[in-house]
Amino acid sequence: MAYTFLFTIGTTTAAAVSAVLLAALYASSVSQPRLHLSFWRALSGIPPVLVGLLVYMLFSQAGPLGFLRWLFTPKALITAQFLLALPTALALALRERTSLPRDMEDFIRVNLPNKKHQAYLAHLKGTLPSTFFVTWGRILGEVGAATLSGGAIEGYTSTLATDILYKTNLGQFKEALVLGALLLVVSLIPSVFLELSSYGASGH
Amino acid sequence: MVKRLLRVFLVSFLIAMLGLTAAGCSNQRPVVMVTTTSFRDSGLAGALVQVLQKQTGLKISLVAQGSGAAVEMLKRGDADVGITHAPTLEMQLTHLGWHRVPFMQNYFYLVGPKQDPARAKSLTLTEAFRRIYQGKFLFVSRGDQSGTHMMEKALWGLLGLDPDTFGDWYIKTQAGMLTSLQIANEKGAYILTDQSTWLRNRDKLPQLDFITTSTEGLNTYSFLYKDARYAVLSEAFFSKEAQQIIRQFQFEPLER
Repeated sequence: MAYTFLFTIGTTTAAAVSAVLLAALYASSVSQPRLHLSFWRALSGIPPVLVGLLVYMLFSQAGPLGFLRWLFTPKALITAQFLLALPTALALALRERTSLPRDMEDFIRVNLPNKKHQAYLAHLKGTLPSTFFVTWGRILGEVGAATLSGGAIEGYTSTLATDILYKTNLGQFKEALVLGALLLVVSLIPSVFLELSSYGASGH
Repeated sequence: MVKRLLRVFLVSFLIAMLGLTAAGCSNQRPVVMVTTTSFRDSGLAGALVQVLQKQTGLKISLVAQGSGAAVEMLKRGDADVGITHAPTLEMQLTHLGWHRVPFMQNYFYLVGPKQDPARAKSLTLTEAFRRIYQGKFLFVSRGDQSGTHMMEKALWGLLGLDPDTFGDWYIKTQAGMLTSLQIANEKGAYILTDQSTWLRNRDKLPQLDFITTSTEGLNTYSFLYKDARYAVLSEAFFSKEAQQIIRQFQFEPLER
């Protein structure tokens, strides 16, 4: 159970961090953020089980990346979680980018033509933690994509969420409830962080 | 100050977690064994895997699917070895050069409401199914192409009946064995189950009772492999230790 707990936090963190970083780079380098925003916002609602199916087909022996032999390993699981987090992270980063005031945008274009990228990144930096926590929540309790890609193998690729489903199927409701409580605690970590950091900022 | 501390903590936390995950990823890919949901949920699959790992030194990843999906995964190469209980499906694999090693068996049971409205007790499975069909008594079907579902379809087939034409009394769950049993328990319906899942969970199913079984309901589990490297695994199924565990879980181990 300790392994599953740490494994869940580890993969969720890895997937959310990479999605958020990529999203920041992407949002700071496009010149028409508004167009990209509509596209990625629409994709943010993609059903997780569909992402799972996509990753399964991708890494299946009959699929294009089958030679990697990643299916039913933590790598496939993190890939699925990453793909699940990416549209949401992109949409949030792009929205922040479009919120940049018009005169600031002009100022950057005129005065910092060679440092545009850095300037936009600096603007996006503040929202990265909250974006991270939103994607974290989206991945954490997910079962369908995690089972299809990772296989929910006990002690190897099972997460808190897939383990709850498994224990319930076994009729071990007590264990399932304990795992559920753990999952709830983990899902609360982001809000605790956000509350504490805003408290720290205002006390400054 | 608080904010800075938080930031330091958050960053070190992230790095630690990424490191942990990377360490978890770098291991060699284990042998992927696909098995049926009912077999994993019985707890026997996990116990057998422990024995197999100890005796062969191979690391095994256990993935659970319905028998249909399991055979499909073996064909595609997404799983290296398998344990299934659907002989007709397994034949598709033996035609493709796979080895099929039957290693244990038990019986499928018809269980149903305590009052037994169809009066099916101590009939053969086929006769009991005929009674249920004639009286349109509630019947829960797994409907998931699992070995149990295949057996159920075969029994209807022996009567020349097609479940696709059945009415509302025929409930398709598309769920695992225990969940389906719980649904039958709630609805007061008949259901075909494997002996092992039933015997281990009957105390959670107060409305259901054993109705009948017969020779048509023989449930044979086989180990499937293609790569000669995995022949050692098939040997391990016949070890004393493995056979003892198989008996504990209400199955009868077979001779090689």
